[in-house]
Amino acid sequence: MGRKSVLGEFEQTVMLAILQLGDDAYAPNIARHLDATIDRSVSRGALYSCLNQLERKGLLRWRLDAPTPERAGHARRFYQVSARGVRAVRVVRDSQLLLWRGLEGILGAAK
Amino acid sequence: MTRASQSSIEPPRWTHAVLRFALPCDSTRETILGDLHEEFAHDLGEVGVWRARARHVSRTTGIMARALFDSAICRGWASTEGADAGRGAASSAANAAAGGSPPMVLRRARAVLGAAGFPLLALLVVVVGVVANTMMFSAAEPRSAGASSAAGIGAVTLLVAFVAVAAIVLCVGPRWRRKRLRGA
Repeated sequence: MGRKSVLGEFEQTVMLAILQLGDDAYAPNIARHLDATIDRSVSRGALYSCLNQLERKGLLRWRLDAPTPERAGHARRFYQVSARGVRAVRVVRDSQLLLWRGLEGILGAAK
Repeated sequence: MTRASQSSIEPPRWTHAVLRFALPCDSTRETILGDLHEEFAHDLGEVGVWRARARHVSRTTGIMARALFDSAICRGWASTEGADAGRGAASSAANAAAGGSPPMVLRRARAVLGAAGFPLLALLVVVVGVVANTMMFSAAEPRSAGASSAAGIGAVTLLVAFVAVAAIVLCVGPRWRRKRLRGA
């Protein structure tokens, strides 16, 4: 195939959560979403580190909204997957689908 | 507990001081502080004050440990200036390219040496060394019981003095620095 994946397993999970959340993707929401959908409790340290790495790889971009009193005057940072990030997720999906193919006999149908 | 009384409950202040110490001074830190504050308020309504505080402390500890670890392996959490201005990914790609380069490593090393925490860490290492030495020699020479107990008291005194100095520096240091910046 020759297309090297740039995403680790946790990075993939976070990228997919950001894509699913759309305009509402900020760190606490991402953690809640992962907890609610795949029952995965995420350490905040690991999450912020992962978001930082994805940003450094150019797979995420972010914007700040206005500071609010509910957040003690701190702004919220909303993440968005960049075009490069979408391409990376697509590459991972295509590779994974190739590996999943033909395993229904062993694993059963997906839920 | 009413909503009004809940809104007056704040997360422990020392956790913010710890994060201000561990994280780079930019929008990443401000965002994380805001996120933690928001999650604390959310937890207050769900699980009560004590468990909300426990969760807050646990999150803070996790973030601090991870940030320090990433910083030690030259993967600091500092945002790029371009991203801070809202331009985002373009400059972060450049930052990614420069992330492991020697000048960046040197700059980070200089920042670590210049940070308030470095002398404290060095002092802690010295104190731990002195205490360990004292305990080893006390164990090796049980006959001089009087001298070893005196040395033990000395070591404990030194440790207490260190903790007191560290607490003063951590509490007063940031305020003093803010005042100095305001004066400049």
